[in-house]
Formats: sequence, C-alpha cells, structure tokens
Amino acid sequence: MMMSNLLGGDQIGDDRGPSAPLFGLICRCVFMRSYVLAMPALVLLFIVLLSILLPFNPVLAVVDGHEYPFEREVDAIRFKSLSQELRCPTCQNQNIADSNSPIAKSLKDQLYQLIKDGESDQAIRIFMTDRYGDFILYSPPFKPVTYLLWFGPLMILVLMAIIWKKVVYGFAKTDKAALDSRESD
Amino acid sequence: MRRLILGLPLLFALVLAIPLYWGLDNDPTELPSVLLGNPLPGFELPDLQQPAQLRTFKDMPAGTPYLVNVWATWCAACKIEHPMLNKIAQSGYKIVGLNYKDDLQSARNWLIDRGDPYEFVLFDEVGVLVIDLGVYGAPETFVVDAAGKIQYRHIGIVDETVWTKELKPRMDVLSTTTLAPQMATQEVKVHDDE
Repeated sequence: MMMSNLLGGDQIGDDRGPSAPLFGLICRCVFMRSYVLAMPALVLLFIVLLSILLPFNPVLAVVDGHEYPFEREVDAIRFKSLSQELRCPTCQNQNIADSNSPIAKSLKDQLYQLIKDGESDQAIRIFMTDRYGDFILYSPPFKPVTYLLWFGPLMILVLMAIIWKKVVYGFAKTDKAALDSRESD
Repeated sequence: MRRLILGLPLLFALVLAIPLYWGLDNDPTELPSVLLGNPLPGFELPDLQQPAQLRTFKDMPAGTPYLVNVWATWCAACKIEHPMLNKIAQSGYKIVGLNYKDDLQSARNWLIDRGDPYEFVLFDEVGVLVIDLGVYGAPETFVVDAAGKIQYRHIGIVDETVWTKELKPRMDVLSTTTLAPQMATQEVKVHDDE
C-alpha cells in the first residue's frame, strides 16, 4: 500500500518547501533502485552545494601587491577585483591579474593609474570596453546579443529537467502497472 | 512514444553539433577592433631615433593611407614578420612603427640589423598608445586612411598572403579614393585640438 503511494501518488513534495520536489524525485529514484535516474538530481545537488561553498574560498590569484601600492585599503581591493574581472587580450583564458604577458602588465599599470586618478569601477570598465570591446570583460554585459549566453544554460537545464521527470514518472507508471497486475494476480 | 524519447539524446547531440562544427572554423583570436572607422587616438610619444623629439598625429603621413605596425624586439613573431615589412616599404607603401615596451638601444640595433621599413618609429615604453589602440599583442598592424581613420586591423604576422589578400587591396582602394585635400586637412585639424 505504502509502496504504491510512493510510486504513483503525488503527495510527495506538496508541503515541504521548494527543494522538496527534488528530494521527492531522488527518493523516488532511490526507492526504485534506479541510481542512473538519480544521477541528474545528485549532480544538480552537487552544483548547488558547490555554488554555495565556492564564494567562501580564499582567492588564489595574487596580484603583484608590492608593485601596486595604494594608500587606501579599498583601492587595493578594487584593483584586485578589477584585475581579476578583466580578461587578458593575448592569452584569452587568463585575467590580467594572472597573466604575465606584456599587454596584461600594461593593462595592470593602466588600471592602477585609473584607480589612482579616482575613476569609478564603471568608468574603468567603459574605458576598457571603448578600446577592447566587451571581450575584455569576463562577465559579459546583459543585452540582446548575449541573451542566449545568459539564458541558454537555464533553458537546457529546464529542458533536461522536463525530460528527466518524464522518464522517471514514465518508468514509475509502468512499474506501478506491473505491480498492480502482480498484486491482482 | 518510448522510441521517440530514446531518440532524444541523438537529436540533442545533433543540435549541439551544429554550433560546435561552426566553431571549428571560427578563430577566437580574430576579433574586430572597436576602433574601426574611428580616428587614431591622440598621442605624444618620443621618436625611437631622437627621443627628445615628441611625435604627434601631425607627424603621420599626410594625404596617403599608411600602416601602423606594432612591434618589439622581445616579440619572436616580429622577427618572422620583419622581412615582409621591408618588402612592403620597398614597394612604396608607408609604414609607421609603434615600438612597444622595449629597450631603446636593442630596438635601434634591430633596425640596423634587419633593415628599417618605417617612416619613423614611435617609442611607447609603457604602452599608452598601444592600450588606446586596443592592441592585443605584437605584432599587430592597422590600416589607417589618408584622413587618419583606422580602417582595418590585422592581429599577428603580416606575411605574403595577409599582405596580398587583406592589407594591400584595402590600401589600394583607400589611396584611389583619397579624400579631397580640403576635407583631409579638416580631419587633421580635429586632431590638432586634442
């Protein structure tokens, strides 16, 4: 009785908050001993946990602190974060903080000067994109050209969730049908 | 229905394959300059041969399109490129050098050893003009028209193919459609104010 409730009923996840459907699905998969089907949920859980834990990690990249002395602590922090936000044009998968290419050094010097001159973060970003385009920013701006970039992963995730749910519930139904026929036997 | 669902991963893979296949021919290092169509940024830089003399936009070749070539002695690819620049200069096209983050003496020696294809060379020790031009790295070459506007940018080595296919046609079109002298001076005047 309880088994058929778990398999066929929709009670699970009704009143257990927003994460309940996810747990409901995992429980359902575990109960069905179908760990393959549980994988997407476990991966999702892993991603959620990772995104919660990662921001607390100390930042590993060290910008040559001695070379860029600031009078105000806040400027040093701004320098650090901006130099990690700007992409090195030569070595495209590094930020200018990590890269030791000549152009990255020049950009760091320029950034240092701009901060010293009292420019705002936004003014500095505009300075850089005026010369190098949006490419220089590691976080692309939110505009129609980049909608696909921003929403694409979410769309794929939703699509996969729909397919996954269909598959799990589809199997559940056939299992239930098999169970019912066995019970009636 | 079941069969349809089983076919979904294949469909998904096929859809995914389209942008990936397109990406194969897509060189991520080829980025259009945001400065295309804009005038050269203002500058005031020492001349490599006479550092006491500060060069500005006024010193740039007038009434003719020209190339601005970013180079440095620490740049290995520039060594490969240099003979081609000599050839281009010999065939009558004007090139202005932009020496970036270099040692004055070794840059001069380089020109003595390998020949000097440049009208003159700007010595940009810290990379002021280089950043204003949005340079990605050396070597890099800009096509500038007679009015001082940037028309094209090539990242990387200029070899025979790049010159004949990308740069020379543009230079030739620009020199035949050279603006009336009056207009050209007007453009130059805009720069004088900077």
